[in-house]
Amino acid sequence: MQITFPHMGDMAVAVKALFQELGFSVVVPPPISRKTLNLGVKYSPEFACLPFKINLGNFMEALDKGADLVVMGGGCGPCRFGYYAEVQREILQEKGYEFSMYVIEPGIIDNIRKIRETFGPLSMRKVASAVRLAWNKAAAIDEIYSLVLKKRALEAEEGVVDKLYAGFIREIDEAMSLDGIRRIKKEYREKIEDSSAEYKRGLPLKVGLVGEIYLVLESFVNLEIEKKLGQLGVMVERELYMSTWLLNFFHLRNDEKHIKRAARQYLGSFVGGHGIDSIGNTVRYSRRGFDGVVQLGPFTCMPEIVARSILPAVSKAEGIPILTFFFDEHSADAGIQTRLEAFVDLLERKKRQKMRGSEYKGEIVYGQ
Amino acid sequence: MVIGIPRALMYHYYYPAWQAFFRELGQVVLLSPETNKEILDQGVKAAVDDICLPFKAYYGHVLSLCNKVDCLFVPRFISLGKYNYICPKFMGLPDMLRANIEDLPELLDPVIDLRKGVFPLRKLAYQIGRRFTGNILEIEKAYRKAKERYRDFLQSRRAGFKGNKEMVLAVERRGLIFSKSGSSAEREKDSKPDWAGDITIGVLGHSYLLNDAYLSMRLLDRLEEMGARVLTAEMLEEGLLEKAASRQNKPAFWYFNRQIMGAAYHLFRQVDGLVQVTAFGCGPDSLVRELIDIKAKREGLPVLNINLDEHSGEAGILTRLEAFIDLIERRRRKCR
Repeated sequence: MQITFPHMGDMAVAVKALFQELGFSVVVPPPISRKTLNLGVKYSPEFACLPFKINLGNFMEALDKGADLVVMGGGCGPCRFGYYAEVQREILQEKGYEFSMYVIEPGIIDNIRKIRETFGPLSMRKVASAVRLAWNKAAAIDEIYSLVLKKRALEAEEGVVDKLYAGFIREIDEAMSLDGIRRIKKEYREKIEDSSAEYKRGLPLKVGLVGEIYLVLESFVNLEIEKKLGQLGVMVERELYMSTWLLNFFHLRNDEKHIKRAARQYLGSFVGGHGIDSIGNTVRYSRRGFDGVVQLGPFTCMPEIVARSILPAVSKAEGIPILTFFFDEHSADAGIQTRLEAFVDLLERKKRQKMRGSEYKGEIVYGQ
Repeated sequence: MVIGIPRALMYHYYYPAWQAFFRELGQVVLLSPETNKEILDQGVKAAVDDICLPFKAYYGHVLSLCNKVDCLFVPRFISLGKYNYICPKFMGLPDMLRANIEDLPELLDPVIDLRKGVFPLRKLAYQIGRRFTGNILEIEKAYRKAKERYRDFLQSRRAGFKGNKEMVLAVERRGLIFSKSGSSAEREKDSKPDWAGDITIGVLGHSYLLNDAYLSMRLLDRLEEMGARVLTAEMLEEGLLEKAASRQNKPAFWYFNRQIMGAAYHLFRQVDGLVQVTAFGCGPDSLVRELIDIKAKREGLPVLNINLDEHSGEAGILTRLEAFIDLIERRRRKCR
């Protein structure tokens, strides 16, 4: 049995560790590339959202490399993600691929039964140690990455933080023990801290990143927007991480409460995906004194469209500039870069005026 | 009190019930005009670019009612049954309107979530009704009337009553849209033209698209004018749809798309071709459409996909419909 799964940010490191520790062989799909995108776009429904297309490309590349079991997330809506697996399975079967698919649907008892059917009997102790290893890797990655998001704006030499982070991912991927993970994490934390000099812009600008989780986490599809912001001298913060998402998913942490409370004034209901998070987190960033918010989503994303419709009202009421990007397979680097630069210039001017004591006058700009 | 109801989206599914309910409670219901160019243009301007066509139209309808009514009935639809949802845009609709439209009248936005509880619908009716009267009996009466009216409406839809003009006419006559016994068969005979050819076409799409003559460019009528018999999901029993949809390993969890899916699977062997009408940017449609395409291909059934947006041209649609009908006729001749 050769297991494969879709990419999402650096999630592959943790998922690979999980299955390998359980004694299965894993085919990690090749890193997302132009080829992945083209494959996915070619065989996906035209108006499916971008994550669907990239996932499909991942699966096809992995199946070509010999994988025969696809592990995929499921759900019961209302976001389209819950229905991805069903459609992807049919498309791949129609294309003639032979494989089986394990879809993680909600419901513990069903899952235990299905896991036994698909993977055979597993010892609880083995499962526990595999989960612990995978979890620690995921948490370590997220911890270091949240540091990277801030320190890019301070790096002494262009690109040094990203180089360090790439090295960190490589080492974490190879680490086989919890001690090893802890050591690597500590080492790189210090290295990244040491690499920082002073703010590239001469003043700290802080931007919160909100939006749909896949687009926020996967730097290939968001055209490395976090890196671009970092290079422009902006510290980035986000609430969406693989590890925090998992904690919330298993009810080990409850961010929803705060998000709902913050969003209530603007949006009175959940809308699937991370729609309400986008609103709630924007409000919270603004109250924490952030300079701006960037929203990311795939083109035609239903929850993010709801959020996008409401964000202008949030922007006005909370006084925080917001820039929205919807990505599809045609999104291009140059357009994004230009708009980001303009946005960051605006944030800087606003901040300097505020520091000088004069109130920021004029309309609040809401880009798109 | 004048209650405005935009003639778009859920209007096409539930208006007769809403109208009966509010009228029974002694309120005046004001309907926006049928979708036209001006309404759509206004809507396109007010809504965000990325939203789908029916929602843009909805914005236009809301704008056209804005200064004529005391309040607008914009329910927040979340779920219409135990294991299903509605497109997320419906869940945020009242908030989106509040954020995008200035000088909005008060919104009557009850949350419609029928997943949990006993008699969720009746509870909802009481919650809405209490605003207008303290008399529980009155609300109960209105609720029953609405329910009865809704049943009639479903029946008439099943008998092939479509479009939106007919619906309003029927509602306004205050009579039964279709009487339950006897005469329905008679009506059926009248309402259906003599079929020139004997082609049957299944048309799949959201009611708010198909039954809006402007948005769908009279697609249903046109097909009939070309001599085809048209079948839609609304003409089939809900039980049948549900059963057919469950042929899919995991049926769609969006209520209306599950119906569309069921209709497609049910109609595969009964029609000569399928026309899928989707709105540009519709999320659920984009995935469900693909599944229907794949299955239809396996069945060897011709499918025409029409994707509508605010720039769709009438001529283009007409040509494609004609070509599709020609193709089906040729196929049939060949088979004989």
